[in-house]
Amino acid sequence: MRIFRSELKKLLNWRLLLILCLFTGLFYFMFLEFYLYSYPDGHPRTESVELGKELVEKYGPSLDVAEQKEFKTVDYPAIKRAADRRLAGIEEFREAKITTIEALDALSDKTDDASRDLYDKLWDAFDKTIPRYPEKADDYYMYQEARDVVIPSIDTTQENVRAQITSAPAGEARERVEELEKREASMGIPILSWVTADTWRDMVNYFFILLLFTVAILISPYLVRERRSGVRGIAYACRKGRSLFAVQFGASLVAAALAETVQAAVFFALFFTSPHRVDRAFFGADISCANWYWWDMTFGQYIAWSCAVLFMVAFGFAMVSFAVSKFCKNYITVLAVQIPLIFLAKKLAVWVRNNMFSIYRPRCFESLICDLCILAPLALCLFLLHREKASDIR
Amino acid sequence: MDIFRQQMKRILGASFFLGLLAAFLAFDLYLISSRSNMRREINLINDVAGRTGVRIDAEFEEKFGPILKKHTTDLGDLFRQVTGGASGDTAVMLKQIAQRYYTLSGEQQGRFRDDSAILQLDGAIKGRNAYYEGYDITAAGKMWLKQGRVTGAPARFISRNCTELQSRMAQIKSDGEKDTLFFPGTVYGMHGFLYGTLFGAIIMESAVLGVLVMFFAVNFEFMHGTQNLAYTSRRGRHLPADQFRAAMLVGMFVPIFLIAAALSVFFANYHFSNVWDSFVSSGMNAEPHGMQVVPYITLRPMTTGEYLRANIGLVLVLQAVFCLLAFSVAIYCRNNYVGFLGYALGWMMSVNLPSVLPWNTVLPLILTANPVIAWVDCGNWLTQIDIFDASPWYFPAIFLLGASLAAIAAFFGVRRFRRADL
Repeated sequence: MRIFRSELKKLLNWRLLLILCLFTGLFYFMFLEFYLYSYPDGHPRTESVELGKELVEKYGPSLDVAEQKEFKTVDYPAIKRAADRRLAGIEEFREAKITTIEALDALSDKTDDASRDLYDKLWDAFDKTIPRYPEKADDYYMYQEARDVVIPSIDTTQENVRAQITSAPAGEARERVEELEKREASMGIPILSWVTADTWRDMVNYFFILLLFTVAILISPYLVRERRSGVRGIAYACRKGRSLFAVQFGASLVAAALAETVQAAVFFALFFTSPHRVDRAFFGADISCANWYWWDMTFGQYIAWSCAVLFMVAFGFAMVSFAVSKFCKNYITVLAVQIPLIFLAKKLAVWVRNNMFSIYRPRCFESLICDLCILAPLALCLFLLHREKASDIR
Repeated sequence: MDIFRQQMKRILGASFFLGLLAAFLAFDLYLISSRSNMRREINLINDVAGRTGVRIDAEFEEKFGPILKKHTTDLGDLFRQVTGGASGDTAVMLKQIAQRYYTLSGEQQGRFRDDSAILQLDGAIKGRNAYYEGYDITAAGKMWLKQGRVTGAPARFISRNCTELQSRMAQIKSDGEKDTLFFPGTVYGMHGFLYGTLFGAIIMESAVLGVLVMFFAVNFEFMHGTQNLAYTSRRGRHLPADQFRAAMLVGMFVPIFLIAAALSVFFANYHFSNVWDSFVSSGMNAEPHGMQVVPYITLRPMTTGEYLRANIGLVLVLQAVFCLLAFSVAIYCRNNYVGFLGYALGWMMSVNLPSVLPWNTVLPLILTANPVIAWVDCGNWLTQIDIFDASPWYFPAIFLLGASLAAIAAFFGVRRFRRADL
């Protein structure tokens, strides 16, 4: 255990941890911040999340036909009245006698210079009163969300289903489609903020790249450092030393798991508190009908499965990194091998994750790939372990 | 000279170098093959350019008319064969045949693709004035400054760029640059693919390999614990100079090799032979940038051929800057792993830093002129799409700044090596 702790300390040395922290910070800033705070056009769609939450509280995780009707006749007019009140609360709008959404829309349709100037002036006043980066959703933006997203999705659901049926595959997948169609008809539309779903879909790929780099940065130099310091001969010469390689293997897997867990904790802490957060309310949204999955699946389950798949691929990559570290004699070779490997692993994981559990793929495709990603590197590392026990000092 | 040759041999014989070079070349070829679905159309348009010439004028219309007519008639025939009906509307015919595309025979698919390409070409020729006629860049710049609340020196810089861009647009309209034939940008995006994607990949690969080679060469003695031997002799104290020259030479060889190999395959598959004299600022060479479709407005009139040569030259200069910077890191940091990661972190910071600095100061303007952002912007080089690199001094500033910083650091690094005690 003492050797294991010491090996772990070697892996998690302060210099590499510092580089990793810097790298993670810059990576968040370059690739993830946009999805967390500014997606898709600089204005964080807090209203999408808030409206979704309100709907879940009132109707549950999905809107059936009666609830869709109720939303259109009761909730939507109330949301619109609140937006009208919001506009009427701005002095410039009152002065211009534009106190309803209809009046504002009518003004925006006019093309003469005076109307355009007035419209620009009103928008300036609007921007000053209603912040573009609100911490809490504003009534006006809530109305926009209901008008532009919720109502059209209710109106076009049946059309979308009909369009999807024409492209449905045959055989076992066809039976599953029919089952999902029946489910959709009885269950209604799942309530899931589009911005939450979209940001999750795009962000998770970057999160995976981050995981890959994390394990690569930590584990790749491990055995090269050992080899360069010339202690292998000493290790070979004693009984305990012969099993050192197994301890090192275990330590690198523990370090990889630790690093992945910490990265995931930071990622989810940010994702659960950002404007585009995954709210607990959305966990129950059944998304299997919308995406035609082989299994019935809620959004929460989908997140859990996505993470499991990415974790397994990243864990497999940690074993590959360990093997690379064993084979390579210097840091330059390690870097040269890891660069294309990271690229390939990223391509593989993104390919697996896109259309995950979809009926367009064989039923157990993802589990097969995950098994391969774990078992193939494991077999390689076990072979190396076996070889290490028998090898002589060179 | 012996030592220099030895260093060269050491680098060129290193397995990581050959392996990574092969991997990068394979990736470039994969990138090129990713566009193979539009090869037929590109080559057809190139053939059309050969028959009509690239300048779009009355003579062009005369020559292009029969080609368009032939393909429109053929589309009508194909429509009758496929659907059994007839239609006078080409859009309807295209849509309905496209829906049945996978039921067509190979010969019919080929005909359909040719007909669609010619009709799209005709649409692009007719719509080539959309940007140049209807866009007031000065007004757009003013609105951007107002929305971003940018004031002071950056506002003046951007306003001046917008004014220059407006006058350049007037020149493009008057000298007929916009009226030259090129592959429609909105359909094929060949400029963005070639200079943005392919050149972007080549620059990245060359930089990575150049940096690795530099670290490998400069720190070789430290990697093998033989630096003390070098320190003990007068000649050994001059070793960094040989290592630098050898690594620099190999570093420069990488983009030359990748460009030569990748572009040979690219142009063998996608024929540009008849459009070399087209202007890059052609109205047809407009591609989506953010929310807008914008043509590539070059700083001065440049044909496709000239632009390609200029880009290759800039890639080589950029590679030299990256190698210089790598040398200045390697000479101080003897741990290759930490050095490389530090260099990579420096890259990431160079991209991030300008965006976090206050917009109303000149700092973002200055820091935007760095080699990494030049790589990020590589599809737009020598054009005025991005207001920050719209100035003619942008590239000289990048190269001078990067090279000067690296040279100063390298000078002190080499001096430190020469004076270091055992």
